Amino acid sequence: MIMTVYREQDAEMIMRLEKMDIRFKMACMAVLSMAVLKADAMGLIFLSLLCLGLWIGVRFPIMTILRHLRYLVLLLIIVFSARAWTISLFAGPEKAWISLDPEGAIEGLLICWRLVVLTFLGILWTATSSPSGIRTAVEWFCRPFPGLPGKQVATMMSLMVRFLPVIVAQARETSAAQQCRCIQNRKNPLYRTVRFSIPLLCRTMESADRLADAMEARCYSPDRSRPLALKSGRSDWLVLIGTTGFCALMIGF
Amino acid sequence: MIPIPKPILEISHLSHRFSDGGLGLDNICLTIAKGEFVVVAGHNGSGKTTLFRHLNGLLTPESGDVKVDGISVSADVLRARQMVGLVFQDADSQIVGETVYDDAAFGPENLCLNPVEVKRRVTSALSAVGMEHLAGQKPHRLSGGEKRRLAIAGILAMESQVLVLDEPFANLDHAGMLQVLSRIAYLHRAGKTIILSTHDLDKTLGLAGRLILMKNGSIIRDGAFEIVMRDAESAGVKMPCACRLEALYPDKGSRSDPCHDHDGLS
Repeated sequence: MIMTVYREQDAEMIMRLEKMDIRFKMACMAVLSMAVLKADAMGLIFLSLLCLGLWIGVRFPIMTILRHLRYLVLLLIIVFSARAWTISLFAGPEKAWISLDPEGAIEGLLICWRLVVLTFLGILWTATSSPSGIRTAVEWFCRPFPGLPGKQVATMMSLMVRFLPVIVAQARETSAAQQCRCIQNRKNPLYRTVRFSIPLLCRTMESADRLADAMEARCYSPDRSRPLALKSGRSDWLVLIGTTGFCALMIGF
Repeated sequence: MIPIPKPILEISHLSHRFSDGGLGLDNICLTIAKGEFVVVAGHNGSGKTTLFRHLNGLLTPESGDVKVDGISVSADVLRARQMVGLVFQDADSQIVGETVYDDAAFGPENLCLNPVEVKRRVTSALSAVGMEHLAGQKPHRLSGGEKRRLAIAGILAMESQVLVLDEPFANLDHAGMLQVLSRIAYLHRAGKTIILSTHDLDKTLGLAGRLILMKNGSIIRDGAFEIVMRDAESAGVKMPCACRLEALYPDKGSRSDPCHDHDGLS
């Protein structure tokens, strides 16, 4: 969803990132993600600065995106709490059954930090890559692996991107229709979940059936012509080498 | 001597039974000539969609045969699907591309055409439905009429000779309906064979040359639109307002009626 909303910006940095060969962009993203997971606090500071620099360059509406990411904060709180607090079920009366573990708190903070940097890098990547580009790159990366049906995987990905907004719209419609019939008066969350999810699931299945028919009517076959020709230049190699070198340094810190 | 148009679709003794045992189609015999504009009307469950799905091999008949340009659908399904483009009632579940361009390119890419040819076909199809300026747009942001036109473009890009449209005006407002209708009229003038189903005969009055009424899986009337439309209510379809007016004021029957005037559409 975020990807579709923020691709409409046209800052120079976005143009540059969009022009980059998708395979190199994907490889840079993989290298950066590994570095974020491996780096210690000092390395993370530099990686975060890089991420921040890119975000300033692309001029995304940060407040709007943060509003979209409010549920991530909940996840971070859970992750941090799980690391920071120690529960002793069999502690005696003189000891507290829950206590803060300073080492765990630092560990928790680092994990949350990593998750935040990864999320922001992910948004940057998806917002500057076209879905058809991602599909073509996935197909290309799957090619060396004989058992992996790259074309089918790529088609599935593209259909998922296409149908997410449709499913979200259907979910909203189902929810609104149930609210019109006072579902909110039912206090049992299980009842409400079942009443909401079964019709939505049925509708989604029916849509999937109709989609399969429509694809068949248009001669769908996994062996299709590829929509995009992949082209890489010197600048793509430079960016990849630069990113790899920078990440190696960060892990070495 | 007037030349007899070559038949593009020949349906002989077509019957279909659903998996639950219900009869979908009962001994349908039908021939449609190249360039004809045919409307198929009937109440819900009369067999219109089931009939359409046999035209490009999405359903296989229990008995009988469907021939497209002389070759049986079952003998070459891919050819039938290329020649007979089916536009479904629910455009939302028919659109598969992430952008308007991608969706129109879906069919030609399935035919493994080279990228230059795909681009030529997509550009031409989008221009035929008046959507070339929306090529980069996300499909879920289109209006109902635009989605329906995109579904038609997806078929046109496969260079189908026959366009089968299953209730193309369903769930459209007046503006959306006019957009779709004007494109259908344009495509018919460009030589495409049009077969469409509708519950509202007023919309195709003056455009279609032939009307087929279906009931319980059978064809109950088939003939010139202006004649067969008078029996529409026997098939559970609303009679066009022009017929009602004619019945109310028989002495003014020859006067031209605004319902007949579709000149403004193109």
